[in-house]
Amino acid sequence: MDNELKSKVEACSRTAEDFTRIYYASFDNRRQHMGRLYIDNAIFSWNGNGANGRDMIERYFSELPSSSHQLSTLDAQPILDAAVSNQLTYLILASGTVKYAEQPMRWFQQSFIITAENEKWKIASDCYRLQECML
Amino acid sequence: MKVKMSKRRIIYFDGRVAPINLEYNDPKIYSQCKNYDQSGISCNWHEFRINHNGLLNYLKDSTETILNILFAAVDGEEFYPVAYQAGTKFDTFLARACRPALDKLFAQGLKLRGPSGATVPITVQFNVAAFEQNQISPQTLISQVVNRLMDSLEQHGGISNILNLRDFSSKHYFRDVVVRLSNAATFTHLCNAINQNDRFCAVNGLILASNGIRSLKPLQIFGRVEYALLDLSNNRIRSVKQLCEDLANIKANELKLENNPIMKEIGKSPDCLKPLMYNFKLVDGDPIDKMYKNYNPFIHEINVQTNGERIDKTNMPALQLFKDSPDWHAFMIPDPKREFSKDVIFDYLFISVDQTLSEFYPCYYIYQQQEHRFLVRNCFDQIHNLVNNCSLELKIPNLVDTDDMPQIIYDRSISFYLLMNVCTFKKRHLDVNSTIEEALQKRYNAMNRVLDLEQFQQDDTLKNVVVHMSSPKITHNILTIASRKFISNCSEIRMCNNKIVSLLSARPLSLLISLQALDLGHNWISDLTDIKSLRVLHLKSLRLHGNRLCNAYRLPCEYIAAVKEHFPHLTKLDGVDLGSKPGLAPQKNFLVNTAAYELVGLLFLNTFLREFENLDDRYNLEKFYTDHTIFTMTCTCTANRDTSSTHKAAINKFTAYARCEKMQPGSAIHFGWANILHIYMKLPNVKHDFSSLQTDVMHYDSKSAVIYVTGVLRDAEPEKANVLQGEPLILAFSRQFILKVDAEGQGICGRARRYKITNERLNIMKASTKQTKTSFKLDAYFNNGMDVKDEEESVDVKEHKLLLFQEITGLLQVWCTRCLEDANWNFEEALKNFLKMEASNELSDNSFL
Repeated sequence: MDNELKSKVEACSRTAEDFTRIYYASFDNRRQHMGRLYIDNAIFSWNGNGANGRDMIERYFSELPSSSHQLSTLDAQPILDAAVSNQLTYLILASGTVKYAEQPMRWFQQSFIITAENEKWKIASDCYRLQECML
Repeated sequence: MKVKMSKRRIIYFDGRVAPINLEYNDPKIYSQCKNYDQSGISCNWHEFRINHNGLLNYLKDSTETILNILFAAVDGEEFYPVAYQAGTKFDTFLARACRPALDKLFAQGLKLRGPSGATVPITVQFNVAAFEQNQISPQTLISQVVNRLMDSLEQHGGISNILNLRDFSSKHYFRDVVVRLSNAATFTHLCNAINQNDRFCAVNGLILASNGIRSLKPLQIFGRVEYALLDLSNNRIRSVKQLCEDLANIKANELKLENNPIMKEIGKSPDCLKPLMYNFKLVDGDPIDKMYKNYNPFIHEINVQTNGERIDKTNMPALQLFKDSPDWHAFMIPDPKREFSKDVIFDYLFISVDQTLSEFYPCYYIYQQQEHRFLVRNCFDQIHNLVNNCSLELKIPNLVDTDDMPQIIYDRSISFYLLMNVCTFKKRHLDVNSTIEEALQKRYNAMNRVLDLEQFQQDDTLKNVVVHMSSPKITHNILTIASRKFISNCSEIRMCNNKIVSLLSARPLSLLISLQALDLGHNWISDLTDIKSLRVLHLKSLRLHGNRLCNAYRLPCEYIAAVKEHFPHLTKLDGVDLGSKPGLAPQKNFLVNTAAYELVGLLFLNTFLREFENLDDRYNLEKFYTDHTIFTMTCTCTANRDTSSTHKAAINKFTAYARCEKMQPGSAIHFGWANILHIYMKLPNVKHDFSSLQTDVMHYDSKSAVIYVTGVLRDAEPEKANVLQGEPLILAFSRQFILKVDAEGQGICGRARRYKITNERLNIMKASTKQTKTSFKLDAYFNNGMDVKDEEESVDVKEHKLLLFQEITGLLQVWCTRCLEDANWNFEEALKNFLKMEASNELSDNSFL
């Protein structure tokens, strides 16, 4: 692995940590601001239920019960291929436990593709899966 | 006329049979006369001479021909020629106790009618030898032969205890006597002999092939039992009517009739065997009901060159002549290269069929001589519309991408023509409504009260009629018939995958007073208003998934709200309980667009996971990687004290290459295909539970794709050790792939793409208790390489299992259902569970019948 890649990976890891901290803080405490984290035409899948675009995603979040996430694993990779986008793009996986309202604690995992838009990291796609599906 | 007969002689027979001493005491010889001295007839032997004069010697089997015309003349009366001797000028034989046969022969002036009209005179001399005890007795001989054959019952096609009477007359026991089953008296005698044999009860089937049998009346005495086989092939059975009468009370699994003259008639109108449809399951290997379903007027009746009046673009006004015709009219749609399938042709045709006019049921579709052909009747208004408004042209829709909105244009059409009155309607022809009724009956399960019309057209009963449910009138008609049939019983109707566009009115369904659930999934319904009539039904459950109307809603809650507005009584929509939190119910798969489905299947995901499973195939995965692929692993599953050593080893294999829980930048990032494959080869063999997979395709276009999968896998290494160690290690996993299109224009159609992975992640987690419990239940199906859906058991099989289970366990039906359902309808497992429950006293006495 050359040094260039190494530095890219390091930058990616740092970004992922910063990003997920903000993300889950918003998810658990500031739902109404979630939309800001997404690009306009972002794609969102919540246990297989899809929502397209920032507005829809925002509305979807507003329907979810209150939550509390605890992150245990985080991994990130830079997406190098130019075909995906010329912009800097990262793939992030976060997993851990979550508790929705009164429901029992469950494992979840979430995959993001985030991209730098106007100096800010925004989510292009977001896929959320509970390990045990029932709500 | 007196003719000096041959001298006295003695005919000796084999075995203990006494010889016949020919003395010719009565010199009178009869020929060419119609009367004889009846008083002189005793039980003695008479000599017959057939003066064929060598005229028939040119025939390959002249003796057989002579015997045939002789038995034809005797016309079913008892007659056993003994000591038959064929000569160049004449044949002789003896017979006795044959008064009715003699009468018949004399009635014909002692002349036999040979083939091609030639007459063969015979002469008779009475009382040529005295009858004595112990002389040959044909009747006794037949009984003896039957008795011998009972010793050697045969096995045919897996069925044992078959009495084989094939070519009975040529049995070597009949050297000295001519026995012909074409003779009704002989056949009757044989049947009685069989019936009276004390071992007959063991017989499971009869082979009577190659016996020249014409009449089956003697078989009637076998009517009490159901046999496995009745082989009547290679006989001379001619009349279907007679056959149906004679066999009316005979039952057998299979009837063989091949090589009988009757087959010609059956070929022309196979439903002539309908009276026997409950007597025999198979006729010559085909299900008896299928026989008359194979009938197609285009094959058996219609000559397109000569039948019918052709209507094409040159004579469209002539159509009016057929306004009131009750006959069949043929549609002839040329398609020399068979570019379009049957389904496509009818999909196109029904675009032009006018939904306000009468119902249009194309029957007896066939692709013949480069044309799609089918028959219709009693729908003149539709034909008129297709001729005059559509100018005898079938429009071919074409989907074009204009900017971003796909549009349908009709830039092509096929000219077709009609043959009016091509065939009159006959009784045996298909009647649409009764065919539909028959199909409905088949699809109804009285046990769970479900009418399952999923892909109704695919039902075998509807093979010869197209019920295109895109036409609301046709759907309406089907439901009307159904509602009359199952009036208060039916509680659920499944109508998915039927191209339904709209439902005209709820009237037929409202007759079904118990109806609670309706499945309209995967149809062509584009707006909720197309089914608004159903509102009055107060349905509890409705399935609309897979209809265009669903695309109109971007969020599940919007969709649910819209449906609820029309159907306020719904408690279940698309299988999701609306009582809980609507819109949050998990869905198995998410696809950013439907085309992305190909990624989930063989094109990528399925292939990838299968090849990953064991080390031998895993190396093939090389094809998906480049020098620049990035791969990382995480593993949140750690071994603890309770973990068995094999499990520990497996977990350690995963953790060895994983990044730490909180990653250290730069560590354990694997770059390029060589490094990645190197790690892959060190990971254990695994098996995926393919039914557990949940896939999300987040991005899919012509350049790249993003696909995520989560599911359950189990450690499969080493396979045997796991068996010894008990439970295999079950783990949850997720994989994330970023793919780029590496090459386009692949495959036969040039539309396939080749993908390479640019980024890949693998996450291994502990499986939840529920995952461990439910995983690999459907494993067996996938191991066989089968699609689960195909393997899904039909309701009939389940019904059967239920009955059987009840029989064995004596449990109440609810409990039986529960046991079987818990075991996924695996009978063995259900039984094991039952025994366990019983052992642990979980079942109270009132769970049993």
